[in-house]
Amino acid sequence: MLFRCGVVAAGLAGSAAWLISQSSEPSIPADETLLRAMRDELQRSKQLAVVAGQDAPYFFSYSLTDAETLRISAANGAVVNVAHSRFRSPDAQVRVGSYDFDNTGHIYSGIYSGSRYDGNWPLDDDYASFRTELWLSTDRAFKTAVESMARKRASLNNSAASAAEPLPDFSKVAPVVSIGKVSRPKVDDEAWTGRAARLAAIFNNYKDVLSSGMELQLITGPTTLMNSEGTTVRYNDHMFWLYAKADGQAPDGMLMHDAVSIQSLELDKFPAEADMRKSLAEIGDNVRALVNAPAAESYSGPVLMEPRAAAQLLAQLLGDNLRVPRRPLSDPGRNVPFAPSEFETRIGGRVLPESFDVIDDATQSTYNGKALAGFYPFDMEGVPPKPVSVVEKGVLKSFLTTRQPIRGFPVSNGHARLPGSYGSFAAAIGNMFVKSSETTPMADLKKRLIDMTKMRGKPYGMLVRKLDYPYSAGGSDLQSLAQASAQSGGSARPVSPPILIYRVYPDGREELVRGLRFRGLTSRTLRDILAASTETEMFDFVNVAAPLAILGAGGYLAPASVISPGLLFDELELEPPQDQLPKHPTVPPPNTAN
Amino acid sequence: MRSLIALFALVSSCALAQTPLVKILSDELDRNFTVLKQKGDPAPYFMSYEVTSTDSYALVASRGSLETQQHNQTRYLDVTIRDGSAQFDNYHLVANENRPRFTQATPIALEDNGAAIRQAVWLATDRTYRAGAQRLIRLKGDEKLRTQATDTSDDFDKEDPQVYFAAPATLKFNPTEWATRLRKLSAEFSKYPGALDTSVQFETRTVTQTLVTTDGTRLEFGRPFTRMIIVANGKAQDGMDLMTMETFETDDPAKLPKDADILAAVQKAGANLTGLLAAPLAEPYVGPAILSGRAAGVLFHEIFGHRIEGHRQKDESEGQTFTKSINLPVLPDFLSVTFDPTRKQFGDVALNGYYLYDDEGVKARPVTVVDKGILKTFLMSRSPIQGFANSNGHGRKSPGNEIVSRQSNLIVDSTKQVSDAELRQMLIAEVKRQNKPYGLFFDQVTSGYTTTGRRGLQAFTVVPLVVYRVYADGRPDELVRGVDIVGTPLASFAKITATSNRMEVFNGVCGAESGNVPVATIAPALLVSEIEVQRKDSSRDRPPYLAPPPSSISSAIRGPRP
Repeated sequence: MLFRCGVVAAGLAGSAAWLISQSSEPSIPADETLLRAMRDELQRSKQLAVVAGQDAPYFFSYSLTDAETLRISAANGAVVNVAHSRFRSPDAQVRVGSYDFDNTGHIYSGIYSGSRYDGNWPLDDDYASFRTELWLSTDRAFKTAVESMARKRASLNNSAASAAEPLPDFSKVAPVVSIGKVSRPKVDDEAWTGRAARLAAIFNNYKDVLSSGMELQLITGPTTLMNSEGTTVRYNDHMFWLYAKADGQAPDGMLMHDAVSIQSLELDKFPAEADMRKSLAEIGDNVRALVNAPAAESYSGPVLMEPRAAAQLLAQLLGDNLRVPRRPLSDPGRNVPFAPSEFETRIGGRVLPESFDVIDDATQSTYNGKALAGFYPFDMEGVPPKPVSVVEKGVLKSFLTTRQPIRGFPVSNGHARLPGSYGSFAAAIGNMFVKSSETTPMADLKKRLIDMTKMRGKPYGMLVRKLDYPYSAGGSDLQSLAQASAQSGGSARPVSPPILIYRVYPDGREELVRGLRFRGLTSRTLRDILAASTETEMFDFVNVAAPLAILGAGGYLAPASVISPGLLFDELELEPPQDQLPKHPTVPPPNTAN
Repeated sequence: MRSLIALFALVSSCALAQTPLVKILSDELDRNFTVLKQKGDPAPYFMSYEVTSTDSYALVASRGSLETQQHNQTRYLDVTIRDGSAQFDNYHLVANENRPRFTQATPIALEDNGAAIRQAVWLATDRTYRAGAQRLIRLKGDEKLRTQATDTSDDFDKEDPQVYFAAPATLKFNPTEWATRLRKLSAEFSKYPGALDTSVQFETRTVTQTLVTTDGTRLEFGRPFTRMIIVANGKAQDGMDLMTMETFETDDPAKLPKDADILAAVQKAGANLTGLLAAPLAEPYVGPAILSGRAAGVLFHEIFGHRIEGHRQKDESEGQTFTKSINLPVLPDFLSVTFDPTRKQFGDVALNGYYLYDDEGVKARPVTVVDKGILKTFLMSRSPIQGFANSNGHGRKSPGNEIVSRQSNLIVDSTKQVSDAELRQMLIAEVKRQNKPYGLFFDQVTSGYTTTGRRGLQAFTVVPLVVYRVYADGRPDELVRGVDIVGTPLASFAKITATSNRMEVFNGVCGAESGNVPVATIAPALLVSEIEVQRKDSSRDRPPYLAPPPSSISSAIRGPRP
């Protein structure tokens, strides 16, 4: 779909690079109203240098997503909400100072105390309105930058000089011009509304499913980005997403749930209704099985994860730690809310067994004939993603980067996919391929699991088929999970608990159990992986700027894929939560027909 | 013949069979109530389900372009369960504890799908029952630790069941046509360069309420709301943010004024903003003033209306300004105040505070709260207070909140009326008498707020938009900017000396404990011998550095894409 009309890969002409030079300016056809308005207002905004004094703007960037969304919520066979909206979501950035030292990376970066007059974009293609909006947005972004810069200088003036060589605040990238032909697939509101209602009716067939819900989001629209370094990109930025959740209650009161998330970048690759129906029925079946499964006891011993569960685990333990946010500058002694990466100091160290290689490659759009969710042409800074070899022979080699330099990694590899903190973007994975050079078929790994449990005199081993990732339990469950994780000496970052976990008895019999979560599982555990399976699975999900990629949270969506083999762990700890369990409802369910 | 038709229409709307939604809700109500009464401990003695269905269109245009186009449909369920007895139930208020909230707005199926709605209702009932039962058990347990409350009235009253089915008709509305109109109207603001952010907004909304209770009440009723809001925002050279606004309210979009009249309103908002941007800053001032009918309405709503809401007389954290004032003078003897939710219209203007039944299913009725200056009663929900055992149809809320007593259409009547011109002469005379250079005329206000709590100041603020100085020496009136009216309630009333003979409407939305509810005020302009104004808290960031971009280049391609 994307049409690249040429890539201008010229280096920037020195640090005084004043924006678009006449020669590198793309010629914009007269009917490209938005591009013309962006170019003209960007050009005019340079005049702000006159009023800026010491901290003149050195970088401007405009981006706009022209979105049309259809959002349908349904439950038990009926639609609960339909919202069809059309909106233009703008972002204007102004950086003052220089690439080495600018307004970002301070605890107050991006915070503006003045009043806002920008933000509501016209839906009509009106040049004058576009210019006015860009003018007001630029003004606000410029004032925000100046204000942040003043606070940053004040904090630095009050702090002892750091021993480490200061990092630049912004890296340079080669400008890219790629004005893709964009198209919006036709979305039939009525057909989708009917489909949603029919799909949500599936759970009426399960008497063990007490409550359920389904959400369908069809998001279409191009994203356009233009910056003062000469980058102009426009590309299709669609996403088609269905997620559903079903809840039940076990006889002892324990609340059980399962969820599914189906996402696609193209409407014609979005699964057919019959396939969606299967996926939803599967979670209904799982809830029914869980409600009737025995409650689990604490376990410590070997654990085998099937490829899907392994991919869900690696998305968290590897994926989230490949993003290294920079600690913001602040006033001395002031507490800064900040979650560092567990990998921050581990470059060159072993993070996986020697047989493992991990590559993130967002330039791939298919894998074994199946569409990859983590493909994207440009990140939120207009940088095309590069394949990144993050782990080689078990050793951590690289991080996923944005244009905010991190120590040892001064340039962007095009992974600014989510909004970040303190004036910068956050990196996130695209397609993460986890490969092992030594693999064993799953059937043999299961035998090995049984051998290990026998040798250690345990009655059973554990097999995990699915984790609760993206996390689909409620917010209070996440709090209790985080608390339990911190108390059990694990990481401050909780790990999704298993949804489908089985006892594997010496005779090979599998028994589903319910109510276990990991204890003390962190990225360090990955070094103790014993073996990987020959079979691999591609696991898609939608990453959001929220812990455990909470299902349905956050306005910014970064769909991603993880391809992983199954994994055998020498020893993991699992424990049941100590929560008090609620009674069953006093009144029996109304729909006794099911 | 004519009366026959009317009669027939009346009968048909009342005798209409219950709707599918009423049937689904009633059946589920009976089922849950029966089981909970048998097995629940504590058992409920009253339950109700209320569904608020909203169908709304919103269109916003700015500078000739469409900015927002939305169609939204929602249906929210609220569940009320009262456990124990009417004398003491789970809603019982205790000192130093917030008013409890058990309900949540649960979104339910937009169509009358029995299976889906029953499932949602059952789950919401279970959740609400658990929360209520838990609180009642706790309150009963520690009741002996508490001293007796001053007000020992019951927690819930007895009301006659109401049955009425007349859902409002679906509105006929053409969004494309309106989009074209709004584009044209909003383009007019381009002529006012100081207006940084402007819009012409249109909203039409039908709200239908369905209520079933274990008392036997079965209601389905509602009303449409249509309004246009014209707003212009700008920033003065010293950083002060300024706004002007014009509004039109009616029930049917077809009844909105013609484009020429709306255009005049756009021009008025633009001209007022331009005037304000250049106007001098107001000085803190104490002296005589005229409040326009709209400003007077807001003042009454804030400083008076909120203090005669019944539940505040019982809540021991409240200031209770008027609790002991029944049959005592609280206003000048030439003023009376009535709350009349049955009043649908004032002139051409549809009144926001109009409804047939309140959110507890109590029939709406006019309530004279102050008669010739004497306080007669309070606004009552079904939660009794000392001396007032029954509701007078003012229990209101928005979805997801618990009921408290709220205002409806506040009407200020006066027996000391003069013409607007005479009122102005009286102001100038008062200015001279007090030896002041000028008095103030508050033309337009946007909003106000008040604090009624025991902790903190008993005070109010009203935020005026357009204020003039009226000079004693005959100079023309002068627009000023940056004033807030401030004061303490009781002191303010005594200073009203006369009113105009022309009533004005202010339609608004009032936000308080039980959420946002539509309200209106109808009041004459007031002459007050003394009012206090303070300088508005103002932002100091400067207007945009660069001049507005040139727009002439665009003229060729202006307008929507085909």
